Amino acid sequence: MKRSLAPGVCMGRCIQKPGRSPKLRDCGACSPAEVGSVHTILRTRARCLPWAPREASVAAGRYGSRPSSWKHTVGFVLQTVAALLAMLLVPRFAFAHRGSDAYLQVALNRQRVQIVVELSVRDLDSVFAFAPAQETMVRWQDIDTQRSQLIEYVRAGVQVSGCVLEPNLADEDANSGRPQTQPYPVERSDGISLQFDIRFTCSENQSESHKLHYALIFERNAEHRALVTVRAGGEISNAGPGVNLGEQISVLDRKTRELELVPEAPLSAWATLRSMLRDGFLHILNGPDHLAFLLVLLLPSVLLARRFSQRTEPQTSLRAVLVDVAKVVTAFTVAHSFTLSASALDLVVLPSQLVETTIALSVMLAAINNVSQKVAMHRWPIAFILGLIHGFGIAGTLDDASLRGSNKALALLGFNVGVELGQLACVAVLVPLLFALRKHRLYQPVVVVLGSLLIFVVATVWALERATNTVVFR
Amino acid sequence: VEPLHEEPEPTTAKPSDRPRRTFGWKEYALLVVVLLGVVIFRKSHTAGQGRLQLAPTAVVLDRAQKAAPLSGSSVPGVPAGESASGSRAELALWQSHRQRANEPKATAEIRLAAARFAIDRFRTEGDPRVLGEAQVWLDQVAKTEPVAVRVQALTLRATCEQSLHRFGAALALLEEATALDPAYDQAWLLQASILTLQGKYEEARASCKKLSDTIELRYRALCHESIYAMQGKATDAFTRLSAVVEAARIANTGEKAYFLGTLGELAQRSAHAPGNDARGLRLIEQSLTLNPRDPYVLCLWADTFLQAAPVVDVLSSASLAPDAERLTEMNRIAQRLASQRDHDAVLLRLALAEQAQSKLSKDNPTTNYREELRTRFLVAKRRGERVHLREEAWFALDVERDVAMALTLAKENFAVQKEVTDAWLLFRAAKTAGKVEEASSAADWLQRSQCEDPRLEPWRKTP
Repeated sequence: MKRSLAPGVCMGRCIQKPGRSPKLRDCGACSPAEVGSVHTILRTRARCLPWAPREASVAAGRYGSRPSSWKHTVGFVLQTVAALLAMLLVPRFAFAHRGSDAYLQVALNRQRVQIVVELSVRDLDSVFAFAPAQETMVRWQDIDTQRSQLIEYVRAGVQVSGCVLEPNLADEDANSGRPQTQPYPVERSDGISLQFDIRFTCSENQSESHKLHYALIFERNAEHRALVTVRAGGEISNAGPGVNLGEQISVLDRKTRELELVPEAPLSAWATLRSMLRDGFLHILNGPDHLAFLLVLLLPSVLLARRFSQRTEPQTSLRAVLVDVAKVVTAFTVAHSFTLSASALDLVVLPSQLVETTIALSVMLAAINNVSQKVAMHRWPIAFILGLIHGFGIAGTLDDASLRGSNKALALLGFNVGVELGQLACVAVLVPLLFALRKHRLYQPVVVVLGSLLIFVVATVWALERATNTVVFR
Repeated sequence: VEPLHEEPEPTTAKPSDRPRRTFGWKEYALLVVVLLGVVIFRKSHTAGQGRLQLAPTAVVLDRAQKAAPLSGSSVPGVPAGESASGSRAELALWQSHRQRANEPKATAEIRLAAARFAIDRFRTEGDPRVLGEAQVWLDQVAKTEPVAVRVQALTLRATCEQSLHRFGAALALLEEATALDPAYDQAWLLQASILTLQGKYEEARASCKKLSDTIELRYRALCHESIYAMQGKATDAFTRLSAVVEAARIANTGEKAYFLGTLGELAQRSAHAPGNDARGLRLIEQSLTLNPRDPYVLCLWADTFLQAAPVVDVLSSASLAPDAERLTEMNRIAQRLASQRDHDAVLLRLALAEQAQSKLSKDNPTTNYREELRTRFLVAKRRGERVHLREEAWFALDVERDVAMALTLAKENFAVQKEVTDAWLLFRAAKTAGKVEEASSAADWLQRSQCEDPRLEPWRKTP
């Protein structure tokens, strides 16, 4: 889940072959210089689009938000376990016209200010005239030739008083893993936008408040607006979801170009707990791999397990089923709470690719255990051991910003409890359903065996994808 | 020992007292088959996509989104020929206008022409971005001499403000323009139309009287008769204006379409006069034959059906009797308007038709205009824009069924603009909410203006 799949990289090369749809093999891996810089046609859905540059995943680090590929992952799971996971469906629509909006996400730390500026290509086109006159399309090549001017333009148009713009590390320090001020393409409902990550170093004088000054696009569009969200602490990752509809937004227009950057008041203990509860809850519901794992563990819980040599039969009492489920869920919970806390408190740090790949492997293992039952008779030990790995994965999505400050323990507790509640919600939906189905003659062969096999296949794909940092399916 | 296999076929299950392997070669074979199937499926899937997307690999902007289905002609470097649709050609034209106007040394003429093109484009396409760009050019021109050029720029600038429903700002600009050059008729015409929209009929008439003597009769007639039509004299206004328009023999298709649309509206308003009801729809249809993409006339056409009592009853769930005729009407609206759905006002009509369709046919709609429109309103609100109060109010009333919200919005909207639809919405929202007194502003207006319109008839009797 922490794979940072940059939407659209290294298409520059794919485009080179006219008259043919780009294929994976036409593209090749991206050189560091191309990372996040080469822009592409997201609409074409060419196969080479989602190549994840290694650098981007490192850069996104533990802040890596769930990349756009989760949609297709979810989509794939939906195809396989459609009915059970239908709650993950997220409606998406595109519409053509929007006002000229820029999105500014500001992260305010004591001595540093990070601003992710998102500008639509259409707006930038009015300034840079990427395409030659009479041309109705803008090609990446057109943008790329003006890349350095583009970066300079954005860096000059966004200022923070009392702070100094940090030098652009793009060229000299491409491998350091630090985010760079390179245009980073994202797909929005009205077309492609470019994100620019710019950073400021601020004086230590704490009493001084910082003022954001924004002056982009206005010279070409009188109706341009900058929609600004400010948050205290933390870091913003590229390819994030942008600004949510529900967030607190300040609007800058041609006349009011300045904004006092006031960090949000620290959250109260209750508010912290609540928001972390929600985060944890949503994390489970949005994470197809955790759900798949849970599903695999729950499928046989309504069957009466005997020794290897014997045919399994439906459980007779609900109580036995619940005891079994409780064992599995508790083992999973205890295990991942343990590693989640350890990881969040930086006691143990594992590379995210390793963790994510192992999670996929764990799902494979659990699935195959349902089919062959050769690995373990009891499922709770599996749940416990694999839960340890899942804990690291869950911690990856935990936002550092929310763990900063005085309520660290509380925030961690809230997140943990949220994760449990999310799990219990799934269990509450699944177990009665499975219990009702258990006596059906097709339950075992179709639901348990075939279902596990399907999840096994999906998990295999996940494991391959994560291990090789590619996307097999879109 | 004969291995037993767990097959999807329950018939193969054997008595359970024998030892068995549950994951044998058959399962592995099954696994391979499933994997192969998935791979093949994805392959064929992506191959199909590849073919579709062969040509437009270079499209990154959706500037071209509304162009014809991307075909071979859109391969970069190949000039768009006959196969290119009008909108693609228009796009190229816009692009060249824009680039020329953006040059530092562009003349006032170039910038004015580009701004006119942009305003036109906003009207037909509903793309708000172009309006912002036009304003920049106009502001540049408005600073220059001579006066004749500045006045044009100010008036066009006012048109931009009016398009964004900032009527106060538009009137202020027009004030400036008319003071600079009282002989510039375009400014007076625009001023009169904004004042009419605001319900200030006497002031609007004063603006019409300022029109110069040399102006063509049809414009003068349009200015005056539009005001009369709001003051209870729609029948006369229609008769007089149609005589003038007929005599004028307008050659320009766009202008002719405009006048036909206006006449159609007047005819509908004076529907009580014999023959005018059918005449209204006919004129609107004629206008659409000449200019099928004018969103204003398209909405006018759709509203003929959407504001008719049977459909209103369906939308408000008052009557859900099967009605094949209404369903056909709604289907026609959906078909005709779909291509112009980028326009918020058009999208609202589509959402209304979608709602009525699904209620009449008891099917779930295949489209999702409702969700799309909802998002658009949210996005506009986030920007701090309230351009489409009328549409929002109507949406809240008939699609979302949020009566309290509809009433608030309808009141807010009626404070800004006072056309028949605005009053009709406020009356309906107030009645649905059970607070007839909330529509007092509309009732006062109706009392004062004596505006005639079949839609307003039910409300005239119960003030």
